[in-house]
Amino acid sequence: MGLKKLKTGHLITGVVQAVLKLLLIFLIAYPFIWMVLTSFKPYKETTIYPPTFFPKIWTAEGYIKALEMLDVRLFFRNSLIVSFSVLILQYIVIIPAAYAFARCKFRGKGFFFGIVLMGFMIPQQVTFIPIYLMFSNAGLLQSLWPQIIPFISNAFGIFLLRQYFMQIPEEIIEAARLDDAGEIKIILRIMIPMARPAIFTIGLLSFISSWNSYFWPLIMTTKNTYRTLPIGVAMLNSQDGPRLWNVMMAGNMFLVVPILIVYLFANKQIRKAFAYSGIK
Amino acid sequence: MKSKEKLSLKGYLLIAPAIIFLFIFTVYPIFYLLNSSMRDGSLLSKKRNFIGFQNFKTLFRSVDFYITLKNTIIYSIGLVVILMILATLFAVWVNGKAQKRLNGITLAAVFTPHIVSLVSISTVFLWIMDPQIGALNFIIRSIGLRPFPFLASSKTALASLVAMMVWKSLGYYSLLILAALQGVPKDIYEAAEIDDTPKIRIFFRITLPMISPTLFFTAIVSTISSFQVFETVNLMTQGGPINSTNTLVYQIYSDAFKYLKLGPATAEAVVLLGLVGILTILYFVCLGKKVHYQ
Amino acid sequence: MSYITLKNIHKAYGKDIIIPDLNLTIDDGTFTVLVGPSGCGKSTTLRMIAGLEKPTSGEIYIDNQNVVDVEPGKRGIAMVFQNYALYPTMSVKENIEFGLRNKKVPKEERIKLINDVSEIVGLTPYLGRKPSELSGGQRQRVALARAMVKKPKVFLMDEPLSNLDAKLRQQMRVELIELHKRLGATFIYVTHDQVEAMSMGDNIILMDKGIIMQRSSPKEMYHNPQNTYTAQFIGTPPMNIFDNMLENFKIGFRPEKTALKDPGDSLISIRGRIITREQLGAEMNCSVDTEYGKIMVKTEDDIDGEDCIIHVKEEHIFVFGNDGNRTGFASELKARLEKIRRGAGG
Repeated sequence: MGLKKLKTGHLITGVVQAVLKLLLIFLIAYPFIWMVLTSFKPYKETTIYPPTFFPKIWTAEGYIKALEMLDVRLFFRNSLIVSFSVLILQYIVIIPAAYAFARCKFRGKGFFFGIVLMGFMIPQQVTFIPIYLMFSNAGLLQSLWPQIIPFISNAFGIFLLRQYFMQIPEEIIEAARLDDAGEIKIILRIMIPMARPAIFTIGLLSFISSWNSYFWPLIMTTKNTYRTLPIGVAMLNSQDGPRLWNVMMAGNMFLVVPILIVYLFANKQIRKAFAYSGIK
Repeated sequence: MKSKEKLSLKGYLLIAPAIIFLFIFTVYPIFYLLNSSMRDGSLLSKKRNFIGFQNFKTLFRSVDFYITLKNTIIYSIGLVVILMILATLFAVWVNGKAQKRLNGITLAAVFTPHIVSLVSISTVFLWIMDPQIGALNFIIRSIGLRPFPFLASSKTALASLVAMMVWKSLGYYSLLILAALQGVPKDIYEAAEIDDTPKIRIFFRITLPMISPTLFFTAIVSTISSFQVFETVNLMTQGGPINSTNTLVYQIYSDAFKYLKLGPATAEAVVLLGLVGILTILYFVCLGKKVHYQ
Repeated sequence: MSYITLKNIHKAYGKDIIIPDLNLTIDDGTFTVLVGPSGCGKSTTLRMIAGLEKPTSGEIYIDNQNVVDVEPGKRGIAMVFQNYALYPTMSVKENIEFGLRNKKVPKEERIKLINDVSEIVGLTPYLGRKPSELSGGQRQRVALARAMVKKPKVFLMDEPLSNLDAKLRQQMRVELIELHKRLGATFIYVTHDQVEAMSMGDNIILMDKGIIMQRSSPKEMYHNPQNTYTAQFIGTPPMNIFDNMLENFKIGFRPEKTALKDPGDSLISIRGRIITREQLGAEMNCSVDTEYGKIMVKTEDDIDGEDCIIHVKEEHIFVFGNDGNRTGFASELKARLEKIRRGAGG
C-alpha cells in the first residue's frame, strides 16, 4: 500500500515540475515573442489598451520606417567589422598569453597574472575617460579603432583559456618537444586543437559582447559614420514625439536576429567540439 | 644558466602583447584618473591646475552624490543577492537526471536573454512595464489590483531595474553554477544517501561547500558587473524619476559628456574604483574562509 | 542480526539486460564475496542491496523485510566505496559523525562512538584533518570508520582496496578479516581480484553476465569447479582446458598439478617442447607447446633442455561436457585417456 503512494507522489511532483519549467520557458520567451509580433503591427495597434498579443493587422510598416530612420546598412557593417576585428585580434593576443601563463616558467609570472586579474575587474566606466583622451590626442576618434584596440587584451579570455590549457597532460607536450617542436608549433598543433571547445566558447562570448556593446561605442563616437547597430537602434527610442513601438521593435529585430543565428550555429559547433575532444 | 634565461624569454615574449595592451588600457588609465581627479578644468582646457582633494571634498559634501552612492549600492546588493539565490536554486533544479531533456531546453531558454543586447531588452521592457499600455499592468489590472507604476515612480523604479537584470542574467550565472554542480563526484551523494541524510542537509552541508569556489567567483563577477550597468539607466530612466535610479556610472557619464566637468567625473571614477577595490577585499576577507578548495 | 535474500531479481537498462534472473541468500554474520570480471553484475547487485539502484523487477529482503522501496539510509546498511567517497569539505571527525547526526544521536554518545571507532582503526591523531591531507590508506580507514560507527546489520564493500598499493592491500585484507570476526556483522564484499576473493571470504559467489556461475567456499571452488568458467577464473595461472583431447568432452588440469618428472602413477603423459620459462624462485612457470596446444606448467621439477613430458595424475583431472559443465569421470573415459599416455610413449 505504501509503495503505491510513494510512486504516485513521485509522479505528481514530476508533473508539477514539468509544468513549472514550461511556464518558466514561456515567461522568458514572452518578451521576445512580443518583440517579434509587435514589429509587424501597425503603429496604431501598439498603443491601444488592452494590448493585443497577435497582430490584428500584419504589416511591414515598422520595418520600412525603421530603414528610413536608420542607416541600417552602415551600422550593421560597422558592427560586423568591429566584432570580427576584436575576435581575430583577441585570438592572436590571448592564446599565446594564456599558454604562457599556463605552461611556461618565468620570473614575475604571478605579478603579470595579477595585472590580468586587474583587467578583469576594472569596469569600463572607470577607464573610459583617459582612453577617450588618448584616442583624441592620437587623432583616431574619427575611426573604428577606439572600439577595437582597447578590447584586444581580454582578461576574462586569458583567465578561462589558462584554466583549460593547464588541464592538458604534460606528456603530450613533452612528446612534442622530443619531436623537436618549437613553442609556436606546440601552440598551433597541440594546444589549440585540444582546447577547441574553450576557444570556441570564448570567441562566441567575445563576439556577442562586442556586438551588443553600447556604452563604449556611444562614448567613442560622435558621428554616425562610425557608430554601431546598438547605438543606431537606441536612437529610435529617443526620437521626438510619441514612441513608435512598432518601429523600435523592428529596429531591434535587426540587432537581435543575427546574434540569435550566430548563437544557434555556434552552439552546435561547440557541442561538436566538446564531443570531439572529450577524450578524457 | 643560459637555458633558464631562454626559458624566461620565451614566456615574456608570449605574454608581451597582452600585457602591453592591458597596461595601456587598464593600468595607465588608473594613474591618469588619480592625477586628473586632483585637477580642475574640463575636456577642452589646455592646462589644468592641481587642486588637491578639492573635487573629492565637493563630491562628498553633495547630497546628490550620497543619493547616487546609495542607489548604486542598493542596486548591487539587491541584484547580487537575488541573482545568487535564484541562480543556485535554478541550477540545482535543472541538474536532476529525471527530466534531462526538458531541463536542457529550459536551461537553453533561460540563457537566451544573456545573449540579447541590453538595448533591445531595455526597449521591450519599457513597453512591458508601461503603466498604461504595458503587458504586466494588463495582467495586474485583470486580477483586480491597481496598476503598478514600475519605472514611473521613484519608489519602484530601481527595483524594476533590478528585476529586469535578474531576468537577463539568470541564465548565465546558472550555467556557471551548473557546471560546478556537475563536477561534484556522484559517490559523495550516494554516501550521504546511505547516511540517511535529508535533502536539505545534503544541499547545505555537501552541495554548497563543494561548489563554494564557483559561488565565490560568481559573486565577485556579478558584483563588479552590477556596477557597470548603463544601458538600462540611459535608455529607460535617465537617472530618474527624481534621481532614484541615478547610479554612479551614469553620473560619471553625465558629468563627463553632458556637463563636461572633467574633475568631478574623474573623481567619481576614482570613487567607483575604490568601491570595486573595497568590495573585492571585503569578499576575500569575509567569504574567503568559507570557500573549500580541493 | 539478519540475513539477505534476493528473489527473481531482473535488472535491465533499456534493452541491455545486466541481470536476467538472480536468486540468492546470504546468511547472517558471513563474509560473502561477489567476484567476477568487469561488467558481470557484481557491483550492480551490491548497489541494489544498498538501495542505490532499483531492480527492474524482483524482491530484496533484509531480515525478512522487503526493502525494494525503502531508502538506502533506512535499510540498516553501511557501505565502503571504491574511491572512499569521503566528504572533502569536512574533517575526519565530521565525516564519521555525519551519519550519527542524521539519526539525531545525542552529543555525548556521538563523541564516545567516534572515539571508540577511531581507536579501532587507528585514526585518533587524525580526527581534525581533512581528507585531502590524508594518505590513501588513511582515507580508507576513515571510510571504514564512517561505516562502522553506525553499527549496521550489513557491511557492503565495493572494491575498497583496489586503489591501494599491493603491500597495503595485503595488510588491509587481514585487518578486514579481523574486523569481521570482531563485529560479527554480515559482510558483502565485491572484487574482481580472484586472489583477494579466495583469501577473504567464507563464501564466494562467482558471477558472469549477471548469472551465478558457482557459489561455494574457497576450498570447494578450487578443488571442485562446477564449470569451465569457474575452473579458469580461479587459480593463477588458470587451468589448462582442452576440447581436442577427447571428443565431446573438455579435459582440464591445473598447471600446479602437473609434473615434468614421471611420478609413475600419472594417467596422462604428453610430449612437448618448452617455449618459455619463468623462474619464481621455488617454482617454475613454463609454457609448453604440445600437439593439443599450449600447456601452462607450474612445478618445482627442474629439467634441462626443451623436450619434456607433462604428467598428470587421475585425481587432478577434471572432465567437463561440451556445455562447460562438470560431468562425471566414467571409467571408459579413463581408458580413452590412457591411450594418450601410451601415445606419448610413456
